[in-house]
Amino acid sequence: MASPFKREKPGPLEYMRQWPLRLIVGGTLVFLYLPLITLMVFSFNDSRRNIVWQGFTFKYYEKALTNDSLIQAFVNSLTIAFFCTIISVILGALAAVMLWRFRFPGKTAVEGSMALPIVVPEICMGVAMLVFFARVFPWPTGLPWPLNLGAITIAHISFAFPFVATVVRARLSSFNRELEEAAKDLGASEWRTFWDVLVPHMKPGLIAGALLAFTLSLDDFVITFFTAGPDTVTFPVKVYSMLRFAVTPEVNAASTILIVVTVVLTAVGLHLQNQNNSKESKA
Amino acid sequence: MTDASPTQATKPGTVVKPNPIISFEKITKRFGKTVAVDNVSLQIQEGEFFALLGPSGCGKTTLLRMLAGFETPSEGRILIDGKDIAPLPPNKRPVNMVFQSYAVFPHMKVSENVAYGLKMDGVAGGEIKTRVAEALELVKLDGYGERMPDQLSGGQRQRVALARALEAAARVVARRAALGA
Repeated sequence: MASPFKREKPGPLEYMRQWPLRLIVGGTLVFLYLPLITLMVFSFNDSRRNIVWQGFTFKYYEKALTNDSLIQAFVNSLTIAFFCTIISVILGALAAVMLWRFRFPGKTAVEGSMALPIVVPEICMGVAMLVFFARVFPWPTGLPWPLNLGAITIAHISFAFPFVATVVRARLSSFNRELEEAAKDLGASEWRTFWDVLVPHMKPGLIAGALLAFTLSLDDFVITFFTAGPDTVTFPVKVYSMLRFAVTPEVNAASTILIVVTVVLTAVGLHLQNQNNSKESKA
Repeated sequence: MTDASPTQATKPGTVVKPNPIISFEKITKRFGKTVAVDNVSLQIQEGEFFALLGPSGCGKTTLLRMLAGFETPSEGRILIDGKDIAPLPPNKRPVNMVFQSYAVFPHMKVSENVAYGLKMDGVAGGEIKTRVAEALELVKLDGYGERMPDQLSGGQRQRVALARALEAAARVVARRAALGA
């Protein structure tokens, strides 16, 4: 009989005790993060051509931060992402509640059409948006900022809110219907029940959905490219146009700033979610 | 199957008192072709401790859910204090229940859970505080008010649900007393 103190063979899920798996995990991390780290490191490179390391400098950060059209594109992107997130979360949450709660004729069709923007290739969505805003619903030009960003914002909402709906729907399936009945039993109206019981339950899904919508909107290139006009350039589109002239460290610097912004926002979002989870999940 | 409906609860010899507080009159509930509750009549007097026993699936919960307003009887009517409660939605009915899963709100503190019914009833903040403290004392959970439900054992959660229902139901008793009913 084996001694009880002998180390047992690692189980299939004990990744850290099997060296081939450790190797794969390590390799994957390198594969995922090395390009990003390279981008960040070369943003400090004191060279115009950005191929050979020439020395450390903050020069290109200064250049990026004083480049008015780049800043404008950055602000545009953040503004679009902000409105896209708020409206997508509201629309997505309402759609999820409707699909979870009610039965109605054509429900399957509605569910299917909601998933469509997730599966339709972005390039098709982009062309469709271009045609839509050119022929069916021309967005007036020459509107003051931020109204001129309307077309892009609408396009972003249309592909972001199904993601929110999917996440919130998944969260809702774990809802205990007795909680809703308990609230009503204690005298709460439909609205009070919705706000006091259902919304708190949906909160992690809402936060995850908001993060998704925000990042989807912030880094979307294809669809934005087809809906953006000359005065409504977003950050990814601007970076693309800068790359056509030269790959300068300025692009790296701007991208690094964007990475830091998204990482910080994601961290804040995850922190909010964790707070929420530690409060209720084990119940 | 032998007769396993809650009708058994009313013994043939029970003397029916004049003013039952809750009265089921010939209640039948069908779900599709399944008959969940079959022609039940029973009466509960004020102050009476009433236990409804039966094997699982015999319709105890369905009967209770019809009283609370989450199901509508297919036939018959339910009276509370002599009035038919059919038109009242669940949140307007003067009855409260402890749910099978306890349904303690996971995102609210124990004290907020117990206070919920009082808050919905528009009771003043100061009064809510003292009454919640009393209710928690009654179920021997004094000092647990600041805890979240996931920091309680199953039995403690059940007692929170009980305190919550009792406190919400107490308002009815209080109101009845005030009206001299």
